[in-house]
Amino acid sequence: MERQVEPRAAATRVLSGASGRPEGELRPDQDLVADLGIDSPKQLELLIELEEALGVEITDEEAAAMETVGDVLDYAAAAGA
Amino acid sequence: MKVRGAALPAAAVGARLLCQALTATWRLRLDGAEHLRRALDPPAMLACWHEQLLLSLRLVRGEMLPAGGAVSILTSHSADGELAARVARAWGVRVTRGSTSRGGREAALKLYRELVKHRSTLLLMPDGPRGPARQAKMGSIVLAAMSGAPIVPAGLAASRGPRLRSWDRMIVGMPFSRLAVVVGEPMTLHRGSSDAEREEALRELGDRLDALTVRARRRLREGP
Repeated sequence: MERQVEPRAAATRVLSGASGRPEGELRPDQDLVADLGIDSPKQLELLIELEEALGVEITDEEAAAMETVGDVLDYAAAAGA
Repeated sequence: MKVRGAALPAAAVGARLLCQALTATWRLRLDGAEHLRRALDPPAMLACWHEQLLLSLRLVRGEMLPAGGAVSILTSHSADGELAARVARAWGVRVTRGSTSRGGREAALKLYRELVKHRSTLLLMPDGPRGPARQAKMGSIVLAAMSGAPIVPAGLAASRGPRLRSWDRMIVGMPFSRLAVVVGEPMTLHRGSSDAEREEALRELGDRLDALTVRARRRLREGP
């Protein structure tokens, strides 16, 4: 259980840094671009920091599937499982 | 004309031999060798406008590969990209294949790994892969900030260099052309740089590439 919580927490920190929003304001349904203003260059930064935080290499398909906060958190949970 | 399928291997060999023969005839005049040396100490990025891609092959073959470090380029998944990838790999260049959709973020992520994990010198075209011509994109700046690798800007010009009718109006150096390369001071950003600092760096990169290109053309007018 502990291993599943920590990746999500790490991803939440990364999302907070990329969006400039406090962690408590992030909700799973928020769109990375439309709601959080994470444009393409910021998404690159997000992916880099996510890889480093989780110790993984994100594939093209996985990156393309990350459209919302929930997508990122779900990815992190799966990567840490 | 797009080369596909069974014709691709033969076309790649032909393109490689043609490039080798052509670039071998170019007489290089290099300014800023001390800055080029920094680019050859990876991780680093050597940047020029996409229109100068073919001219830059002289630097790749004559300066970058002989230096012994890893050299990386990005090519698209298109047929043209496959042809370029085959030529580059035959020379010993590391090739990253990347999609240009979604602003190219997945491709840029692979380039980041090339810089940080494989300690490469990346040949970077900040207005590529599809333009607009001579407009640097923020991905280059983010790569520099996140990796800590310097961007070493360069301007290249050929004494006889007609242009293709491609989006970048690519310069094709004719046989026995004089090639002027002016390499500028490295630009370095740090990971904690602000959005305003990155915007400023983006503008500065474009300005420097333009100015270095003007200087390269001027060097050609000064004669041999």
